[in-house]
Amino acid sequence: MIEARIHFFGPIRGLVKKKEQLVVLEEGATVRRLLDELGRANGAEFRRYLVIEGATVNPALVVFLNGESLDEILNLDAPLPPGASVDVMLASPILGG
Amino acid sequence: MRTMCRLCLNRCGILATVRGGMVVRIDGDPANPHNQGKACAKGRAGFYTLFSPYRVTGPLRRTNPEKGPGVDPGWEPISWNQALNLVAGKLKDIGEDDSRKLWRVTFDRSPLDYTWCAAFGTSPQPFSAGFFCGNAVHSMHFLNQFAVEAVPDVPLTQYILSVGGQYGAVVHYDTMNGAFELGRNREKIKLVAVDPFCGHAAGMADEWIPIRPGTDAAFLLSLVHVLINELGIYDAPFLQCFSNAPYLIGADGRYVRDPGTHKPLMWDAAEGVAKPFDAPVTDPALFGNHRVLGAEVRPAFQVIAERARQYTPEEVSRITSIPAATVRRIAREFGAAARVGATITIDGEQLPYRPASVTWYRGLSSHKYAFMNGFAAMLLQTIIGGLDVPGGLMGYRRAKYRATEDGLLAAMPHPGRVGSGPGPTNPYPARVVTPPQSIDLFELFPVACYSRAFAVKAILEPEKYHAHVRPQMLLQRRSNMAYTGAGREMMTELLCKIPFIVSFAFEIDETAEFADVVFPDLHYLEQLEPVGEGEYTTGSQPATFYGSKPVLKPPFDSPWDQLVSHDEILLELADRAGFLDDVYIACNALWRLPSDYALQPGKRYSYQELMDRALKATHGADKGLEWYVKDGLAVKERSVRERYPGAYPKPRIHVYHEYMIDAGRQVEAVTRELGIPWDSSGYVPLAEWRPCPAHTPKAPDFDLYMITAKAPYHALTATGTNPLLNEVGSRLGYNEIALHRDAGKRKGLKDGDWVEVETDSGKKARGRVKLTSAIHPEVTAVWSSAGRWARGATQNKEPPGIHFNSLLTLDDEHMDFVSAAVDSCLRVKISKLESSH
Repeated sequence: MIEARIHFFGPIRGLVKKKEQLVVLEEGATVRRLLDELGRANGAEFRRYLVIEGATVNPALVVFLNGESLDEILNLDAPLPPGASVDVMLASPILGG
Repeated sequence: MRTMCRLCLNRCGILATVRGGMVVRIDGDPANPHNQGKACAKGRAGFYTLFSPYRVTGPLRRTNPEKGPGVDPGWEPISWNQALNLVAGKLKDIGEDDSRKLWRVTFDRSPLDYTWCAAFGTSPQPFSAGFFCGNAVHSMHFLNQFAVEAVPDVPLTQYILSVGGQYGAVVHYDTMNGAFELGRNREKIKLVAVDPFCGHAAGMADEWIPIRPGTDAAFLLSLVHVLINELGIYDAPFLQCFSNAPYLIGADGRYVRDPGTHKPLMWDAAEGVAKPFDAPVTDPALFGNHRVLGAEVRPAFQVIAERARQYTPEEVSRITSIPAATVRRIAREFGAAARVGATITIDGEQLPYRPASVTWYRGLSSHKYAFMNGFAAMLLQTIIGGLDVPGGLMGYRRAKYRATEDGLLAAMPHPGRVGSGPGPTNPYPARVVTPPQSIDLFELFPVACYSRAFAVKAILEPEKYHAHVRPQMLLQRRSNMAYTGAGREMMTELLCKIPFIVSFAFEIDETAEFADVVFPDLHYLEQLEPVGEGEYTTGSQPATFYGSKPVLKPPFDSPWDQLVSHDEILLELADRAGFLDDVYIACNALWRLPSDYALQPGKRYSYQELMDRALKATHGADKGLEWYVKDGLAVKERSVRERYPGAYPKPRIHVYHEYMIDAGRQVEAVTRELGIPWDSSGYVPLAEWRPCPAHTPKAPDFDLYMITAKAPYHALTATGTNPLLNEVGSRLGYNEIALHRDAGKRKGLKDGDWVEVETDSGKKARGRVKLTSAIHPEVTAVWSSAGRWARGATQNKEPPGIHFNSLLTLDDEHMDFVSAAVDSCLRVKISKLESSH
């Protein structure tokens, strides 16, 4: 089994009503499987935010797997590493004027 | 002592000289290349604000529940402990309800701002900076330069077309470098300023071209037309290989895709056949009409060329008031200066050389169709192949990028930059539109870089906009939103709707007047903030790291006089409200602290210890806090590849914005589903010029446009606390209304006359007229940052002038539903008054 610890940062925390979540998945589970599970566990509003199509997650959500952006990993069908740490947050509107 | 000026975005490296416990002099840091070792007059006068008699030196609590401009808050001094417990209690309540109901507003982000907000469950926002500033700027640079901003490559450029901006003259990220390089290269650079007002940048330009406000896109598209259709000047190899110019477009405006792979197709002119974009294509066609899959299709560049034909110089002259001959001449000059096809050798590498750039800012952003203005400017720069190559337009504050399935460049989020969030909010791929979840309805703006102006609408009319996240607490610092936001009346209404307001205030400014609790803020000469914005890398400058260091202690009671950052107060609040461990977890994740430096939940770290770990993680084990305090300047030359990424292969960039079609449809579907009145007509794949509301006056006697302009002697509102700069402003007519001499003559006005200004929305103001030839004859202008009204602040001794934002109207007609910009070109009439009363 693979345990993935998910941290929710920023306003997304208000949507899922939790700071973190532990997801236990079968050996060999993929990133897509983890995202599906997150979507299933956190209600329709979050699922709508998440939207996984092909190899993309809604760019409004920023997801890091062990510190690496999912955009960089690209392949949602890659298997999760053991003890995966997943950070989920919203893209940050830029600072300046 | 080496430290950093925090008055404006340029953040110059400075040296502060202290004698007898007082700062007596500020100079530019000669070792700092970011500001070329110089400091401007504002920065050099910065220490005068230390003596403010209005300074807040301890926590205050409001006793008068009534709020509004001029209403005495009945301040009661309270202890730090009382203030911290009061605010922490409110934070705890909000955290247990819905963390998004904390509205954190700050323009000057400190090292811990983002992680603190991430840990609490909200995000920091600069608010009004996003009303009319980068709306036409950031998205465009993310899109084609994977950068937040861009500036001309001044040492190598030969032609700068400055449209609606004051490069090198007023607050910006690259003002000092721009100013000194422009001065040094005066003889070889032609600077053309296109602006309704001959402000300080236009005054120093080689040529000033007055333009009717809000018509910049027409002018820029006319240049595109002349370059492509009359002169045949465009960088064909670049467009073929590194842009989506050859992608085939169908009758519906969408890419024509391969039925099997779904990849966008190009037309190979050599073989007369359509091929997927990533197949070997000998000669990708930029022009022509072709038959593919039984339908007539055209390359995107053909569509652009055809669309541009609408913008003949003759037609555009009617729109902009710029003579057709001038439009053609500028196009010729720009095209010739771009030297399409030329190369230059730098450090032994042969690179494209495009020494021409268009630079734009607020003048393009503060309009109803701001996003299209940005499209037009970026298109002009892109067709000459002048992005991130020597002499061209240089992006900075870059993100990483990737190629999408359509082979197009997309900026990527990445953690690891201390003090900033994971960003960026890239327009492509567009975010999926969902029902509003944010205070500013950001979910309804899939391509904008922010949507802060819509927070005003959402807070004032929550039912109409389906805004169920309503702020219960505002935590605000260095963002004078009551003054810089939607005008005095509307901001009063908005701030009165927020049950609890906490301000970090240096003086009781217009926003702090609304606070329930005030914490005293630190002067920037009292701060230790090493990592606020990371490295500075504007233009082709070296990467330079430095930051704020305290040269004085704040005049607070002991032990609070030991504070070196307002982040220490945030940490204390987090501890008392029970989320300090979450702040540590957020720091570990967002700063990418390696295990040696990772923060352990349950332990307690001082602010200095946090900074030490962050510095070492970013700069190396020998560059912790001790190094920072002793030296704290790291300059790293960048390789040719780092400076000029546009010269190297990368994914294709956009000249045609197909993603806008889907984004618009999504916006339309969601807003219709929720019954939110919304205008999605601005989601189009190509730039076009559309008139602002001011181009159709509501009555003929509203015969003037009114705009605002930045002056070099003020940095937004940050310098309002400086009596010297206020005096300079007063002497130079900061409180006056600029009006063309001919208009003055027509109206029987002379210098110094009192007038009433009335907008065609019925808003009024009074002021004194200054007649000048340095303004478009149809335009009147007031200076930004004028018209302050706070009683408990330094500027209350100054003649106020007109508060421009109070004349604005934030209704559907005046807001861009794509970029969230607020239209700030007004239509007004001016009539003479007998006296100021």
